[in-house]
Amino acid sequence: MKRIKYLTIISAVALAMFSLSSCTNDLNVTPLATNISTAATTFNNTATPYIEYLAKIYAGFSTGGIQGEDNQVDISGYDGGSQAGYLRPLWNLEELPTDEAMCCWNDPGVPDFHSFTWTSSNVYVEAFYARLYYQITIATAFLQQTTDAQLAARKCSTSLIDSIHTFRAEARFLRALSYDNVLDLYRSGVLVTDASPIGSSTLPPYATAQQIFSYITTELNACQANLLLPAVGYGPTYGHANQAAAWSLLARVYLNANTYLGTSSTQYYDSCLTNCNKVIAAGYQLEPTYQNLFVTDNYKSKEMIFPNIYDGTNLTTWGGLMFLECAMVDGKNQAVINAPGAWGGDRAVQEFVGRFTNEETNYKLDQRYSMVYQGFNHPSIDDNTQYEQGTPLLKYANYSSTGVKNTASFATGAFPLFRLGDIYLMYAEAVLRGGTGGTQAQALIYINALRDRAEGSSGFTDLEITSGQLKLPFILEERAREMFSEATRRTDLVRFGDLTSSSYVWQWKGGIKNGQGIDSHYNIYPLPATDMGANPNLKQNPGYN
Amino acid sequence: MKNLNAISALTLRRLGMMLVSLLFVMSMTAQNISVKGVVKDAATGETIIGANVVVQGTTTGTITDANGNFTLTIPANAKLSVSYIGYQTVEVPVEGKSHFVINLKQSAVALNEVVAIGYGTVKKSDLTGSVTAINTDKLAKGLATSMTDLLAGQIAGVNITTGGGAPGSSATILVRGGSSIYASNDPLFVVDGVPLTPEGVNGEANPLSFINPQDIQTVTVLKDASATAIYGSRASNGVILITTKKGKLGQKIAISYDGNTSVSTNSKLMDLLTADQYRSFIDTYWTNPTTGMNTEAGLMGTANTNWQKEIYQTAISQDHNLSVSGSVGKLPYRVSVGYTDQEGILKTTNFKRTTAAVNLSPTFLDEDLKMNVNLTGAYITNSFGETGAIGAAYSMDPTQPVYATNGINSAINENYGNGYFMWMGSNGQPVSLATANPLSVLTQEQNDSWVYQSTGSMQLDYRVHWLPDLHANLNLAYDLSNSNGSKTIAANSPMSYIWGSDKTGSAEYAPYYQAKTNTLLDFYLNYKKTLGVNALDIMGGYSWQKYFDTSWSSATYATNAGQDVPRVDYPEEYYLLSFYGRLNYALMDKYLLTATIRNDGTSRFAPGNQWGLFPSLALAWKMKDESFLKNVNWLSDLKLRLGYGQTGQQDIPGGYYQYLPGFTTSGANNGAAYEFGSTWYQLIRPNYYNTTLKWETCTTYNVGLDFGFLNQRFTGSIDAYKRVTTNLLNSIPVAAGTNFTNNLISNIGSLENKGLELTLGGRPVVSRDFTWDVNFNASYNYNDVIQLTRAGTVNYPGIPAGAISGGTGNNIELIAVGHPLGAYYVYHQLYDSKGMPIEGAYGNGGLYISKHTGTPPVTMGFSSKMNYKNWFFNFAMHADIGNYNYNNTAAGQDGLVYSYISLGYLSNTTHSAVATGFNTIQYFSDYFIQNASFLRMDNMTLGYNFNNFFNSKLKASLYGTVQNPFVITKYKGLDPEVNGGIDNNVYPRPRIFILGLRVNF
Repeated sequence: MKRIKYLTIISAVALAMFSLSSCTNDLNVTPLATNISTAATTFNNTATPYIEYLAKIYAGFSTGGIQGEDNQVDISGYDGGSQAGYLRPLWNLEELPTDEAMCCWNDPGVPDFHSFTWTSSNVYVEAFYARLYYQITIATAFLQQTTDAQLAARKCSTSLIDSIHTFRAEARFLRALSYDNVLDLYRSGVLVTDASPIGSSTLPPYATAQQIFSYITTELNACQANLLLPAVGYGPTYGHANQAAAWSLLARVYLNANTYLGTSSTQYYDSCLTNCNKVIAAGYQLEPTYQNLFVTDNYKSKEMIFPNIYDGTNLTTWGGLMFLECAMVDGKNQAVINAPGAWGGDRAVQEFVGRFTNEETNYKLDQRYSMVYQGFNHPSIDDNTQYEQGTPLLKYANYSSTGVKNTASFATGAFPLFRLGDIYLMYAEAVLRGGTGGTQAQALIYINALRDRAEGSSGFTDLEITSGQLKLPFILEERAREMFSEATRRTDLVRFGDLTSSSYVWQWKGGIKNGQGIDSHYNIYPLPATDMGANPNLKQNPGYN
Repeated sequence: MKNLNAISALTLRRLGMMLVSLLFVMSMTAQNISVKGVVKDAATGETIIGANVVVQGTTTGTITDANGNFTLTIPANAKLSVSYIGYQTVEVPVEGKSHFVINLKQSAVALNEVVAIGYGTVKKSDLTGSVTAINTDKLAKGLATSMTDLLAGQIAGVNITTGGGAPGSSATILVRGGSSIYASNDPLFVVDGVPLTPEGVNGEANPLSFINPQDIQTVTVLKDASATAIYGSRASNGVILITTKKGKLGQKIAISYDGNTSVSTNSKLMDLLTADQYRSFIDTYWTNPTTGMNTEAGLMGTANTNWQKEIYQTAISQDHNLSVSGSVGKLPYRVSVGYTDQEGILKTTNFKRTTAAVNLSPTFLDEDLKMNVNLTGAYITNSFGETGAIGAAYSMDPTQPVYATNGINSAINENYGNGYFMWMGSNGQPVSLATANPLSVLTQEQNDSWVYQSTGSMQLDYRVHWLPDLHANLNLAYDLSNSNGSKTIAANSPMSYIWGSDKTGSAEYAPYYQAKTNTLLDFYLNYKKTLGVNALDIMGGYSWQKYFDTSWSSATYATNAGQDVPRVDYPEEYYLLSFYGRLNYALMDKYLLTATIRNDGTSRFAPGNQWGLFPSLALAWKMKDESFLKNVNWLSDLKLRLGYGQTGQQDIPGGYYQYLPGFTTSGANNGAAYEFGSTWYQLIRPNYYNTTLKWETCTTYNVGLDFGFLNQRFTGSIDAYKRVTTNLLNSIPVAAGTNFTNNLISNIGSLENKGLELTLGGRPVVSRDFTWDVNFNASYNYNDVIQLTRAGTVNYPGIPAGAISGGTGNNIELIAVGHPLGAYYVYHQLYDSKGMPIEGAYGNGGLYISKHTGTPPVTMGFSSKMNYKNWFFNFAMHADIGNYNYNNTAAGQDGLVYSYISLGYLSNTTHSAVATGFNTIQYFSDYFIQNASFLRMDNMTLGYNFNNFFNSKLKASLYGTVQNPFVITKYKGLDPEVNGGIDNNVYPRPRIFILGLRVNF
């Protein structure tokens, strides 16, 4: 009897275990939704997955996520449109600590810029670093997914492999572009390369300015051959970064090299000029009407070297061009540029207006000055809580060169990350700084070409300068007039040693109304506290500990 | 020792005397005989003080005095009924005798109660863990649409905060302070053995509302790990076991109806400026002192609108429940239906629910096979309304009219806003940043959902015929929901120009859909044996559970709102497999040991990390049964409990495949594409992943003492605990360049909770005509973050948390090492000599981490039930002490510039904002961290029990309840009870007047 008892117990348990143990395989699941896939099911021998992944790397410079309006944001903990994107934080970091912009919002991190009180926990300092390394990481992963061995294993055709080689060169360019932002703003960081084990817990080593600089220049020189040839104006390769984009980036990196590296070598200006000359030789032309560089159909412009694309329907964001248009206007001047919204935040201090009114006798002829809104009649910002003090810069417009208004809810148009005008200014500056490969006479021609264009498209010459006027301080002034609100101002002021100096001040610089000098460690931003906590290999920039 | 006992016995007798003289003065009748007697404990021979001696069938009676004696004058042929709490009632015929010695036997009912503990039950006296069981029939109830409404404030260590006063609104349940930061802090709910799907249901505010509270028999809360560890990976935040009502074998058919109708009114309004006050404020504040000009005055209107009155209403609700239970032969059954229609005080808000439940519990094979079948179903419709109306009513200029009528105000344009006033700019276009007309926000938007939910289970318990000590138990169950909903904003409505991203007056249509299916198979064997002084109870089993859900949502701007949008499902699933076992061992029925173990496997982690082992051990010592306490009669229970256990957590937000390297596509036409040439390409993004993801582990130590006096007339327990969560699942910064994100969910960090809990219950008065039951509980919890990042890293301030309304991306809390979760991160406000805050003047050091949080360190609950003859009076109250709210509503309005921001519209403000006088909004001033301790009277009920309702045989109760009659608090905002502490336009909790009727047929 007893034996039967135990037999029953054992068989019951055994039966239970047998019938149920097969279920332990249930723990190994694969995603059910059709929009999620693994590497094996994503990449095959068709072009689509590769081009769509490449599209994401580009789009990461425009919108914060993979759904419109910055939804399903790429980096977390930050507001998708305002903090987690590319252009809006870049613009804040490059423009807000300068004479070109002041913001009256009390949003986190924003007031720190004008007062030069940011810390390693400033939300833009953190979020932009996260965006840059997000871009670097997805570009690197693209390269790791598209090695020749993998393409062969997936039985890609020769012509597809050729296209993917071009895509890979573009990914390397885009990665170098992000590294340039790291170098310029943070001066140090980490190096993630094709050999980095993404997805593991291995911490990347600290990288100095010299290491990042070398990596950028080496990469750009190496990937050039596989990039598309320069294409002037709108065409079938629109949207792709081509060789001229790489040259432009090299020119910018070399122009600033001495600042980055703490050196004073003129050979970098030589290299800058070499690359400027390559761009100019490629046939880009100044847009005849300055305003048409900043309208919805500016993609047609033959001055555009590398566009940062936005579209009211297909590529929407609360950052980017949307921000550049809406944040500069309130209800009273919204219609001037047909902005999709009126957020009333940014405007320039009175010193910026002075770059025209004090330093150009014929400033009223300068069409660039026509973008400086005069309607508030209160150029001095006495109280920063009042938006209607200071001067909005209505540069970007939400209508076309023929005046057709964009009716979508979001801004349309391209932000020029590189354009010929900037190349001309870089050329002139490199020459004046002692670079070889260019001449002062040619520099004067380029500068006067910009100034003639500023007056209009009908061959005016009233704004031209003489060779005697072509001096370095003039370049800084001219860059303010030509490049204002194009997210290069902080870099320019640092290069000229004026960002923190007490001899070059503007309203509220350093937190007091008449402006003051500040400690020079503010020339670069701190490495963010978030990454300092996550990666013990990092070394904080001087002055931020 | 003997003396001490004598003294306390004496004291108690005096107490008894006082109660006698105070409360029971009985009149004597003269023509009957006089009898005397003494009432004793049958076992010990001790006299019993305060026992009821009543002439059966009359109201004549008395209670025994301090010596256990009684005297009564009664008819000679009467029958005496003698009763005392905790003893079996005895009936004694008088039969002419004049002297009685009546011995009462202990019933010890309370300690023999059976309590559900998960995969089995145990006698209450044999519990080793921290477990609280509540019979819902014994609660003082208000309007309860969900179980959470019943339990608020009733259980020590269980903090329930409703999400506000919306009908069917959600509730947050925090057991012992919460053990997670990023993962869920919700307890696990198990309904009749079925663990429910953890996340809520889209389209339903409160996922528990599908269970009609009328169908719930008991709710058992397992608090410490020695009790919860049997649920392993889901038990870190406590387990709440719900047992529904069943029919009884041999029971005659019983039909009962329980229904009520109620009227809800607004209990408090925000203290805003009236139209006239606002007019004079604008005149004073915005007139330029040098020019005497007031440019803003032109924006003002001539109306006098109280926007708060426009959006609220007096709401009428009803609730009906009918149940039939009984037994057909050997088939006990219970069938119930319920209908609830609850209107909200915010116009257009409504909750309607129909529920049905069937329970069958037949037995077969000579009672060797017991079967228990449960089926529940609910159909719920919600009209959520647009709660944005509340904030809009605070901001909207009171000088503007509700409806647009040309000619009154030059800014009004009847072509916009569908007849509602809206702010128009000087360019003749709507002002896109302005406040939307609050009433239009409600009437021009429709936000509805339709939810079906059902659970079903079939439990088979087989007693092996020739080995009755062995039971085999099989449970097959499902839990599913299916919900649809949509939000529609009318074209040309004020919101269509102000909200969303379109702002062009287009209609907006946002439908969504979700279906969830949770299936369960559970099998266990249970062996019970008593051998001499050893009692053994062993259980071991296996469980398989599959969670599947699919969902979809869309948002379109379409002039033809309501059109069908093609549905694309996003399905996902995960599995939980478990092996579990429990050993209960009792030596001499005095020394108890419980050991449990559970091995859980989840598909949410990578192979290698899928399985987690969760052990627990508990010891209990029934001290009362020791010889040195056995004869201490006033002490009826004393038990010491020690517990240790580990539980886990795998419920992390962000999908079920976070360990898996994968790619996500944007899909077409989603506003995220990139242009090559003239073609827009979709995007493919690599997903971040963490292959090392594993369980978060919570280790709990618990020591508890249960006690009871006077044969359990007064009972209580004290628990002290420490809970340490390690390998915290947390979204923390990941080193740049190592993953496709900046914050990765990782197992890093630890967190600690320490606390004390006290529960007291008693029946201060027990007599034939008057009984009084009281329950009190208090708990204290301190929460502390121990570690957040990998050891050895410095300069990491913490994780910003607590998003507030105002600005973009502002957070008011910081999760930082050495501070409790939810600690505010603010500036130290400086004050002038009059005690008013000075704008922008802050103490040194910038932002600091406040010691205050929105979670109360101390919570208390008190409930009382009184019965006098046929009358009953019940109330329940609860208090939070030491919690501070961030008054986001005030912070957002305390900026006078806010009243006019040069953007073409005006905003109302509060009297307190005018008094504070800040020019610019100061979001981060600790002035807005305000003491929100409170005492709330949850409900008060007065009712009458009819024994012969309208001369019929029906028993009935008629009662009136006032819910939320008052709150005592110093808090400056509308309502201090805010989940998480960030007070931002909470749907106000109404004051509700309820008239209810219960009839038993």
